[in-house]
Amino acid sequence: MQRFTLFLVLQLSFFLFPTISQAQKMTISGFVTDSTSGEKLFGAFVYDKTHTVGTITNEFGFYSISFDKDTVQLTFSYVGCQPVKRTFIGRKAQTANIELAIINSKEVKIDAERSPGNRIQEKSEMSTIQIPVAQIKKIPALFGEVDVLKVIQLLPGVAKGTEGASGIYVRGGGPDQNLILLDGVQVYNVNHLFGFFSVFNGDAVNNVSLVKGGFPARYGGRLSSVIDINMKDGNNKKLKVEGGVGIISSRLTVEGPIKNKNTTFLISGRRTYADLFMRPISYLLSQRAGSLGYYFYDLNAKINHRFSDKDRLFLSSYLGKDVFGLKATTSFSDIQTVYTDKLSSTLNWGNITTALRWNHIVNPKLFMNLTATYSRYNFNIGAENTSTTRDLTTGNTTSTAFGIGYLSGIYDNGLKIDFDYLPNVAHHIRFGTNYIYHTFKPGVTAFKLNVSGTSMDTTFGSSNIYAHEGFIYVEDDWNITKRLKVNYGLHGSAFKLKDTTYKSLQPRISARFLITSDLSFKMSASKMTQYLHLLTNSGIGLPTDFWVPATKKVAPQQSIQYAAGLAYTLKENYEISIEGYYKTMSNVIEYKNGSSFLLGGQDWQSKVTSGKAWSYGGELFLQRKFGKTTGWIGYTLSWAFRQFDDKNNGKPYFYKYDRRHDIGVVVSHEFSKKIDVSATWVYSTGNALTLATDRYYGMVNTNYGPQSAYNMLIDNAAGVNEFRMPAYHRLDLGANFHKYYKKFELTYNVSVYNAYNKLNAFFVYKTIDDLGKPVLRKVTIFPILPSFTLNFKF
Amino acid sequence: MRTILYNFLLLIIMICLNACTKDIDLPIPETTPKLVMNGLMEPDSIFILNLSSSVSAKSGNLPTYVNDATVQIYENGTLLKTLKYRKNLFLNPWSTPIEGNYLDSSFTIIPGHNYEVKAIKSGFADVTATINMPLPLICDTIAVKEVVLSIPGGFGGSQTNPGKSVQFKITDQDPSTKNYFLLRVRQFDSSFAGRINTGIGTNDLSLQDLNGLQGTTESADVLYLNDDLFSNGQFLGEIHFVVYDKSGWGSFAGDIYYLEVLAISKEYYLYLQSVDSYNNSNGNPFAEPAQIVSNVNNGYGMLACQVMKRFRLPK
Repeated sequence: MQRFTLFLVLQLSFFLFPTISQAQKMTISGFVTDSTSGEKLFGAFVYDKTHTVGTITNEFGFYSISFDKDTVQLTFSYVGCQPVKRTFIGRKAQTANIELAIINSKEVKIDAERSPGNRIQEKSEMSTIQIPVAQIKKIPALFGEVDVLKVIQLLPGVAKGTEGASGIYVRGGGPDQNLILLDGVQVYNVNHLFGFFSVFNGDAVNNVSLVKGGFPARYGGRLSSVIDINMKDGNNKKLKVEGGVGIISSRLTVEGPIKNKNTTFLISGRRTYADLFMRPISYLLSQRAGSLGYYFYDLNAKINHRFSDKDRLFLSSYLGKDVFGLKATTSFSDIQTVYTDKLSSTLNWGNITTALRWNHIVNPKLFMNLTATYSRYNFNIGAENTSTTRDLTTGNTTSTAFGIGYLSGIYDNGLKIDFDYLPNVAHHIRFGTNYIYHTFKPGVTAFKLNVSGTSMDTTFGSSNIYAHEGFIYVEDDWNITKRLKVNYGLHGSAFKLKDTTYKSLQPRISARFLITSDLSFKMSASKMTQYLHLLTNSGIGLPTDFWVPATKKVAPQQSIQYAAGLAYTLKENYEISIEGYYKTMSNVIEYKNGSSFLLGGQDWQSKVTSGKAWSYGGELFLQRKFGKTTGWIGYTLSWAFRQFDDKNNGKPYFYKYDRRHDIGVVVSHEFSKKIDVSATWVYSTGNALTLATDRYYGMVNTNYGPQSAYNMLIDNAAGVNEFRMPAYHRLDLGANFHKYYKKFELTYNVSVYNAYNKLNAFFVYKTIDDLGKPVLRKVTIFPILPSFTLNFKF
Repeated sequence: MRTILYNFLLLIIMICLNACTKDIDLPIPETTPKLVMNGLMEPDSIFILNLSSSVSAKSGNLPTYVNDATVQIYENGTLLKTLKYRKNLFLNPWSTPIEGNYLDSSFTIIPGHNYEVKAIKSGFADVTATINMPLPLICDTIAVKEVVLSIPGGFGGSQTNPGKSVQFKITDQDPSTKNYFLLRVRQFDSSFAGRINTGIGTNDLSLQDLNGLQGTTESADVLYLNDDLFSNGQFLGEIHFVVYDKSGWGSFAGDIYYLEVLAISKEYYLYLQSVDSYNNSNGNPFAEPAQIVSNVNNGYGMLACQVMKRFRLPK
């Protein structure tokens, strides 16, 4: 109680202190947007070169900057845009909404005029990368499907799961330790087709940022990363249509203003059509005995209305689903009877997210964002079998129907309010609070049986679990001196489930010290708490992975991460960062030995064990952001460990996704306005693997007396994860050919996934070959895969 | 049901992925064979030690039994006996002899004593294992009642069956150390002339929790117990089981039921649980891999011990 009281006092002092300081003469505020589309620009820099002070726009494009001056000239700039200069004279508060125009890469001037505050060494944040969506769209992709999460996997510090999967493992953390937000709403399952594609449609996305460490206080609830994805608002200048037709899916995005341009909308959809081919082909191959099909779809919709300069309302929603279906009929007969079996099975999972947001400028120094959120994830598997027996002599028919279904999911209802307060150029204060009401459905199994008209059904499994989660935070981005900048804050959270309450106070700090104008030293420390766990048996993003809450028996996860590094800008166009980190995690959970997911029955809490984890490593990131050739090289050297008292005899072992070396190289080159090419090369050490090393007879306490009449054959692993799958590497190539017409633009995209046909392992398992020798069988799913996509825009 | 959905999920994945496969050599080293000791000590029973040698998992061969080793047993640090090899002592269910058995019927195992077994064979590192025999059990049944039990049926729904509920009390025989127990009910099935375990459930929440049982209706082959669940040095518990006495497959009017309460060593307790986990994970691609616990130094296997108290339950 005392700690929370202290926390509230600190929060108030953050709020009050700067206002007690000397009154400012001029405050300039407003929004910075893209002149072509009207989209807000997050992270645009507003800079006074004369006094070498500045600020950046928040995620809604809002900025506010105050001066103790009568006249000031500000430069507004953003990556890839032509800077705009404006002079402001007199008056206490002024509103300036600025539009920035995108310029051709060859026109970009590489000199100090370019937004100095945007340079990597000047930002106080560390372990944070913002990825331009335009760059994401250039990177060659599996089946030509642009994928935000696959691009994030190319960054240092981020390990991918298995071949093709969207799993993200950041600095030794698990796949549940990433807070993935779409317009501020948490998305729980981001996988289509078992993780081969993510649920994020690149056409609907405005910006993506990844935070791996040095977490600002406004973020919480996950240990390892924040992936903050914001949708576009919709073009408020004109109606725009873009889309594409690819090998496995097509997509269409329509956006534009409504009426007087105070209202804009965006609708973006994507659907695969694999089922259109799979069903008839499988029907023929099975000789008309059955068919199977699979498809997924995503739908993003957003509408926003500008009531005035001070008030805007946004409503955004995402709906996506994967559906797999199988039908089969078999029949045989003898002289007297015909036996028929009909099987129908379905497997589907999907998300719905909705956010209703109100942006309000309280005063020129205070911006408010109030958001109501809803998120739902469901997984459902079902099978029904009907067996019919018809007596040919009598004509009598009897039938037995059996059905089974399994359902799990998680539903969230939330409300949050965030404030940006910019009292003067030295401080950018953020504070706010968030509440979520969770409903967990950890697995219910339903049985149904009908025998000749007599039916019975039953349901068993874990019942719904309800929990409350909330947090409050305050943080300040403080320019202490021209060289020293600090972001510090406090995040306080609480979680209540039935009669169990957990609380956590999480201090955060990151700082940068400018050694020279091009070089800075950065450090950060952050404590994080996570109240939700993901039970997962494998890394292939199976929809059977399910979310469970911290309970009396299973405590919340916690982590403390320290990081330090250097950031350097070379020749104004190359950004280099070197970072080292050390992270400890407690109360991480895994399935106990021999346990797996599945169907009701045993309570999940008795299937898991808690332990600790730690990881450390170094990351090198070299990025070229401007010019005809852009891209990056990322290299990570890291170690990740786990330790559970009841696993591996209590000894630490390598985490499955411990990747000693991880390299990502991304290059894009623009030959002309008509042709651009790109290439990606990745390399990583293979996953850690548990393999039996010895075989021997073990004793079985059989029912036949105290001494076994026979012995059990055991293939025993000396240790957990002591071996490695083969190293993974792959080259992807892509090219875009643009054709410009009067009213529309066509782009032909040709890409090759896995260009040199490296047969990387999707998974491995031990088996016996034809000669009776034990071998490791490597299953590969993606050989060289060319793809072609036609994109259009008008 | 689980098998159906396991296989369905696997089928979906494999169909969707239409994978190609390639065999690669197991990236494991050739390991040196080690001696493997397995044996269960129990008072008033002849102790038989089974000795075999491990093989490298890379070879694909079956392990072999060791018939010419020196096996010594020490009691409280003093050599008690050198066990003698006995040929063809057991047959497995396929009627092939199981070799590697050593015994000597001229000594008795005493509760509370420390025993060490050592096996020596040229070409192998000497192996040893040590156990502390549990003290005699202090255990009694308090009440046995006829009950009607609701048990989940094979296709959902539930069935009611006649059963028995047994209340019992165990007193911690050695509060200075942590003690481990097993509970089981054996049905003396006259048709097979042997004993089989019958599934047991419990109303006791702490026992349910420890054994991962979902409520009172779920049953297990054995129930594990340790003195963390004791209160004031005692455990008052309840177990119940279905009596397939007058109807059902495999039951006869002459069947007799025994409640067996066993005090076992910690290593044996962990070993049995690891065997359960291993059996659950074997062949299941979705399960966490499991390792078998061993208390044999320089080798593998389990030297286990137990002290049992058996209660014949009234019909």
